[in-house]
Amino acid sequence: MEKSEIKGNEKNVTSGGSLLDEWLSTNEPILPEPILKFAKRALAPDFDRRIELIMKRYHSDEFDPFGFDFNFAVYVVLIAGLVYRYYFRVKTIGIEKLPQGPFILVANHSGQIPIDGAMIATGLMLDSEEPRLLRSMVEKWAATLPFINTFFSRCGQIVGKPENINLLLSRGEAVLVFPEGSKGIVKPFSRAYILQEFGMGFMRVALTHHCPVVPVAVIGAEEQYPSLANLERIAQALRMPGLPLPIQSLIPFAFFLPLPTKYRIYFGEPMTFKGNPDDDDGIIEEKVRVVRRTIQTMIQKGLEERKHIFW
Amino acid sequence: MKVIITKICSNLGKLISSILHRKFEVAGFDTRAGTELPADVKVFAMDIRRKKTRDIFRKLNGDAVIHIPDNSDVSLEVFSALLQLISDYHIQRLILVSNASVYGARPDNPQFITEDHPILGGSRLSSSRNLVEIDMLAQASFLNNPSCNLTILRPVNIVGYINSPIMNFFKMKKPYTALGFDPMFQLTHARDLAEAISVSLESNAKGIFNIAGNGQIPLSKILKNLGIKSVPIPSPLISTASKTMEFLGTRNSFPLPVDFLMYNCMVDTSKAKQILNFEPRFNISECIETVREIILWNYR
Repeated sequence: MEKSEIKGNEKNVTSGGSLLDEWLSTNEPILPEPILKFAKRALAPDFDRRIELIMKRYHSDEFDPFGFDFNFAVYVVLIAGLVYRYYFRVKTIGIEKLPQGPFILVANHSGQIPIDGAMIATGLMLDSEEPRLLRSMVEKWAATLPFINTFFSRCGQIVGKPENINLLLSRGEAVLVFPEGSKGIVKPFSRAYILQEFGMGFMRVALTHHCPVVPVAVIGAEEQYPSLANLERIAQALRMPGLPLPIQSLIPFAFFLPLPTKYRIYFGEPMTFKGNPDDDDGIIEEKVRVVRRTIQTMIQKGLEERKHIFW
Repeated sequence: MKVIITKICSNLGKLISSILHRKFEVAGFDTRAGTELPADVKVFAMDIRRKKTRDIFRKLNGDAVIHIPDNSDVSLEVFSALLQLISDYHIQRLILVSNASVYGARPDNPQFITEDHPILGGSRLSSSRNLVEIDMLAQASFLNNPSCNLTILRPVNIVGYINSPIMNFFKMKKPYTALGFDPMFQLTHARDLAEAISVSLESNAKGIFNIAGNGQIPLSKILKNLGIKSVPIPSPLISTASKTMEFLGTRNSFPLPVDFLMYNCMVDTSKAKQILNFEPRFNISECIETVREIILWNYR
């Protein structure tokens, strides 16, 4: 048996040439070469530089503790990038406001499946001055789904536990949370762009780490899967957080494809909060309400500025 | 210091005694006769529950007991008898070699479980239930007998020349995996565990400590590095087959419970590093190398 080395995201980072090209030449390609070249050209002129920066930032001799695997994630970035640029034609507003160190992005959640999270993460990778890997918090239910859970963890997504966010922030990483949880994502179309109640965990973590909270408003995700209802009883029986009934499920040959709405992602001014993370819920709730109000205002402004759902 | 080790003739017991006998006076109990143990280690081939054990405990006048529980049906009874002996003969120190599996592998586990996390391993898995009960009994006994200094070590996935669920899993010709799942794994080298026990004895620190080698890696990559091809099976099938075997009382062909093939059960070892000043010598690559050597020379 030959001695093989453990390969993870511990690719050696050396100077000279494109790291991405070097990496692609030493790893088994998942996508054909012409598609890779096309994708790289189509996404960003400095795509290689962006990936290099991410590779340098996450270079480690150990496999990522949360299971992020660059070997896998680079292909996901390429595919998500194409969807970002050409399907949803995402426009980011205010992305230059993002701070340098660790921060928590707090966004509204919508669209029945978490495409909004993927688009925010791709935006940080492709359109931010300094590309960042964004770690999204996912429902523990997602961890019980075969293939999906592995896909999420290899892309750097994490089960939403305060301990996990604490660890990520102490490592200087950027974290995305959806404090509405599954209630936000599965809400029917009649409640589109109305924020649900926010959880308070993110605020306690922000206070612990003294890290900024960046409010984010996503416009366009609500219309990708207009949901007629949330089949709550069936969802409970199947131990699912919700079971939306999108219009696509009633149209033959729609293949559950999301509608190609135009995404607009608004990044607000970073907010810093002071206080004791172990304060009573009432005190923490007041701070959470400030963030919620800010996001709701940003959503209203975004909806007013939007001329059409699809362009 | 006089140290008494239970299950001393197990591979882990032998390893611990081989390290401790250089520093302490070591004696041990086991139901089997001992071989390959250092000459200065006294072995008593008897069940701890027997009355004769009391005379031996009195004569030994030990200072510390290291208990290595197994997962058999009588393990709880054995541990209760041992606690009684510790209380009766005023033994000052108990080190319980528990296991990180007591935390359970669950979808909502934090990525790195700390020592204060509830031990939920028994709620779904009957195989971990005895260990959970022993762990809890040890903690309860500390309240009843505060004069005894209790240390619980919870190592994760012990590898080496020992009989552990993870080693039995790797020794399978075609290990099974849960289809669509690829959890992160930590490994602990048996030598590191033995060293951690030695360090705990010397430091006299009490409390619960997680033990694991440095680094973590997905299960698929461990198997790939070992050159093992696994058979992915839908998790409900593994679970049903395992439960059926348990019900029928036949030998369970699934050494590793399905939950551990689906969800993470990794531990935070910072407390052991800070308080015990314990730094593992074997990282995950070296642990995998050890497993490779064992399965290559003995089983393939």
